[in-house]
Amino acid sequence: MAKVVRPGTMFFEDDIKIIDAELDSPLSLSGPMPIFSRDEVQLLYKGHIFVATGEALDNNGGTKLPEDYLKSYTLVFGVREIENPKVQEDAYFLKYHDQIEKVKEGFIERVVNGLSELDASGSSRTKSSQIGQELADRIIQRYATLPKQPQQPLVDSGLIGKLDDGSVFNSEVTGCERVLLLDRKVYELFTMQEYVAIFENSFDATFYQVLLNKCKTATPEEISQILTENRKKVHRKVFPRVRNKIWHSERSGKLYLDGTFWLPVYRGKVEDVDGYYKKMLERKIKIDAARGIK
Amino acid sequence: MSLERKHLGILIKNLPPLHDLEYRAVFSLHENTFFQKLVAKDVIEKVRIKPVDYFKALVFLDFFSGVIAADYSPCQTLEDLSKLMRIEEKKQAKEEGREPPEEEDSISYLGLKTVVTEAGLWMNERAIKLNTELVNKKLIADIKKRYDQEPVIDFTSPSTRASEPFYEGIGELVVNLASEPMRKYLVNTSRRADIGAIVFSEYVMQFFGDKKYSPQIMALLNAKDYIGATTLSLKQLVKGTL
Repeated sequence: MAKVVRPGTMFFEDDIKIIDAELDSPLSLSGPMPIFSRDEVQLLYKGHIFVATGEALDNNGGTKLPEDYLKSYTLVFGVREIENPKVQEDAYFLKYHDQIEKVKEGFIERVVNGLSELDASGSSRTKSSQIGQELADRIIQRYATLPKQPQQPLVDSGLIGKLDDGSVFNSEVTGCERVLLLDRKVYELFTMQEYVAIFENSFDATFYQVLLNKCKTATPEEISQILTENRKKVHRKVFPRVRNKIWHSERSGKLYLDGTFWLPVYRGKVEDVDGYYKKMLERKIKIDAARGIK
Repeated sequence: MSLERKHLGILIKNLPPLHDLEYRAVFSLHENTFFQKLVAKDVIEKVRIKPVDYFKALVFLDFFSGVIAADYSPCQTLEDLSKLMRIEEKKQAKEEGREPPEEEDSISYLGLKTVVTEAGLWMNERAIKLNTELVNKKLIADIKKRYDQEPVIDFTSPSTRASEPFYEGIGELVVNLASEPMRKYLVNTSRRADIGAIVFSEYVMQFFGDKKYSPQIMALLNAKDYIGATTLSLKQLVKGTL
């Protein structure tokens, strides 16, 4: 089918094409990304974000420890929740609104061939919105094939519930259900049970079961003590690997959040996670752009 | 003390890591970060030190091997010594029909004095091998060159990363490497080697200090003359281990 766009110019609706190669092309987004750009230790936990805060508490002076805390060497700090991912993302989209609008326009120009000619033809709005919907569907399909981090199982121990705030982070990103971020690195948060379980075969079987049960309620100091008292029931090379990571002295680190003691264990560079998050933010911007085609 | 640890927390946070070694077992988060920021891989992976002296010995050896000697062989010597002692300990236990002590109670875990003494012996041996004066001008110039190559943290720059509790904890760890009278010098540090020079001077004075050099070393540290303090401490060390 052919339409006369302007005298002397022919335009075919079949010429409108979505360029598949551009669907997942990176966008040049401005400014630091939400969440992962914060330059301090962060705890991403059940969709909430926490940081250590304030002055060090007197750990030896009988001061009551706060509900949640991070102990770095001998210093104990309270842990507080900061703005959730939705608030951070909204602030980002608001701050960079004008730049993001330009990015959207640029994306549509790159990804849909012939759209401007369609506009000029005065073709129906129905046709344009069909293209927008088709494009959005293709973007969703394309991004669904991206590899994701495995989801971390949640631990029901305290009062903090999983946050579903509608943010890109909490809707799309997996593998950050309980992690600690430090200097562009990701540490998984293991419970003491999970950490001990890594070394299952190095324990006397009966003692292993006793220890696992104790890990549910005991403090790291108590588990360390139990291990020391039963060191003959642990492989001699594994003993320091388990005991010292959990607790070796008042100089040991400690993290207590939501009724559980956590052991941060290195997983990898943050790029594996924030790269995926950035792609999901881009996905949202592209879908918004596609649905905005009029 | 809070001032020193806050200062050191900022300094350490801003230092580029020396390596990306991460121990998934044994060590906590702040211990891993301490290693990455302050101790070369060649040092960490070699020495077996008593827990109470562990971090002190690592920082001492890192400065001695990296800045003074430009040679990590003293760490290898200490490792060899540890292994030999462990073999001997096991042999002796077998002869006496008993179990050898657990590793952490073993004599093969060296103390700080052994580490400092080995550094002095290594310097003396080097002088004999090279047939040179123990602490000569060339050595001092080389030390200064290596010291000057260390990244300097500008605490007044707006791009300097801000203090945070986690690094303050590591700052506290470093504060505890020094004795009370030495801690005030830590607030003047702006590079990794400054911490090393203070720690090096302190432990040399602790084991081989004398009335002639020690007050001068303290005065040099007070004047932020880290090369001067290192040079005098080195003289004190080689004299003490001759």
